[in-house]
Amino acid sequence: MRRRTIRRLLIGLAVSAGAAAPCPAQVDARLDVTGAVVRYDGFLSSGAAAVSSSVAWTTATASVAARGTFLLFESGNTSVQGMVSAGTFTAPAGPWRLEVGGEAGGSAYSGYEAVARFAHLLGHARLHLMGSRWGVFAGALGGLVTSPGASAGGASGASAGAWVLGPATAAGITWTRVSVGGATYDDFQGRARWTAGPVTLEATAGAQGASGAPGSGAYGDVSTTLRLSDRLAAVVAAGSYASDPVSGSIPGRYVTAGLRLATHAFARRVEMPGIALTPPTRAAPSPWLEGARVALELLDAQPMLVVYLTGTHSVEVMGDFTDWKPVALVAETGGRYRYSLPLASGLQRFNIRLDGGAWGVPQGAALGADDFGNGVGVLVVP
Amino acid sequence: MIRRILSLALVLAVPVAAHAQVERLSGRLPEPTRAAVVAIVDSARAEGLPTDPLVNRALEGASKGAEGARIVAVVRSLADRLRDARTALGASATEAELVAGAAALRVGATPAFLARLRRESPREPLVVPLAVMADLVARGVPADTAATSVLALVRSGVRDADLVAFRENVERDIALGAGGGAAASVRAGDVAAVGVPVLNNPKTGTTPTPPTPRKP
Repeated sequence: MRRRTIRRLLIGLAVSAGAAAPCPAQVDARLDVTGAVVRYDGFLSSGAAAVSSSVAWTTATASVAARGTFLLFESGNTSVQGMVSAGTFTAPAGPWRLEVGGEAGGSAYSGYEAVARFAHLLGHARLHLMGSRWGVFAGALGGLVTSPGASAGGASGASAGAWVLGPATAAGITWTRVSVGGATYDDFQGRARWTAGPVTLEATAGAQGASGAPGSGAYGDVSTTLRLSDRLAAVVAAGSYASDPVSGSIPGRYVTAGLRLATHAFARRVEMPGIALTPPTRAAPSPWLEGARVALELLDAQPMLVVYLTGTHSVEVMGDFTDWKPVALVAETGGRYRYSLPLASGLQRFNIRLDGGAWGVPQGAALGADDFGNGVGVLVVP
Repeated sequence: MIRRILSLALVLAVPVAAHAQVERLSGRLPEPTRAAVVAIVDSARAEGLPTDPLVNRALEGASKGAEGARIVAVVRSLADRLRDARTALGASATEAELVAGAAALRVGATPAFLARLRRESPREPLVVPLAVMADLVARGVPADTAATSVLALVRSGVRDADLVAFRENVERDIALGAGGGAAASVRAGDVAAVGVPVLNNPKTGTTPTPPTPRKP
């Protein structure tokens, strides 16, 4: 449901480019009141009530939109999301148009004595090749994303897609690749919409692949909107979505039903499918050192830091116990490298590097939140 | 008499330790940064907060090439979290517990969670539970799920070794592609349900009730 909410926000940025006829500036506001049953992975099914409001200001060449959603679960836990997006198109140069835009958003889930907050700030540029009823585009995006336990990290990527409009239908496909730290995500998504009289059917299907982090999977949903009057519609939807740490959502399935109230009459034209801009998932840059494992071993009843590796390496450690100065570990037999002094009891933060490479965290250590870089290891010394 | 001697020794020892800490910063930080960090350290010392973690964090920032303003902000933030951790965990909390509590707060735990953890386990060290909670969040487990899982395990009377094993299992599941929240929830249930022989509550002698999946 959250993933869907975010993607819906993006509808409209490219619509104004696809709709050939210029129109005066228009402000459109909507309010959705929805009841839902959600089942997140690892959780029981739960009822939820949602209130979403959106405001969009649209001209022939620009669009600014804002949206907020408040979710109340059966448990009393809550989720709040908000996003502001904007985009503009250059004047046509033959069939070509350039689009630039950006979005800023955040979300917070409050429950069980903890709060998880996520935020992102992304910009994009796309080059469109357009006919009156079709278009293709390609572009790049970049920005910052944050998630609990990680400082803000850069995100960059590319996207490409195509869309086509029919008399009563619209369809589009998009591919988005986003790299966040050491992980790269590919998202393939197809959308289709069909309108007949007061009924609009919409379907989305997607597949997400991830390298360097978990997050692969397929998702999809369908929705039906029944226009009850010019300004009131009923909406029923069901589907699934993959993990999306940008907004804080985890994999799950949902069924929703609700009412939509609009300040302007619902558009009867068929719009172009929206373009996914939000990175599909978010992961901290991988701090792990492949093939290295740390252990605490007793030597004369003193806890000693030992690192196990395959092959011969130059191994250095820096941490609380070295005043954060690099110190070479002593090579022993069997791929064993030992810090020469016993560790004091308590929490000890440290990093390891191999052969003068980047500082990282060996397996076997707890991963601590790092305020300065790409992860720090933590050992609990008894 | 002995008490006076001890008091005198303490009075003498504090400045010596303080001087040693300031010495550790010399030559590692630009002077304005060093002065700002020393001021934070002195203030923390006056409040009775542990100061070694503050100095260590400043040195960590220096070694990682962080800008001075960033180092000062991080050290000040750590001092604030140590203060919050002491309020939540109580005045008797050890330095290691405060450091672990500050780390948990850093990743999204609330002071209420720390206080509840202390209530559930008033006499057992909380270093490992807090460190595991922070580690889980760093690996992608939502903070609320990590907190709830750790709290459930502590409530059921698990030992530190069980918590470490729990963390390793979650780590393995995530590496295999599982969602962090799901891995933590499922593994927390596994520990309580499967590990009954080691999970008999030492305080009550009863078998703990396995945590059940919950609603979001």
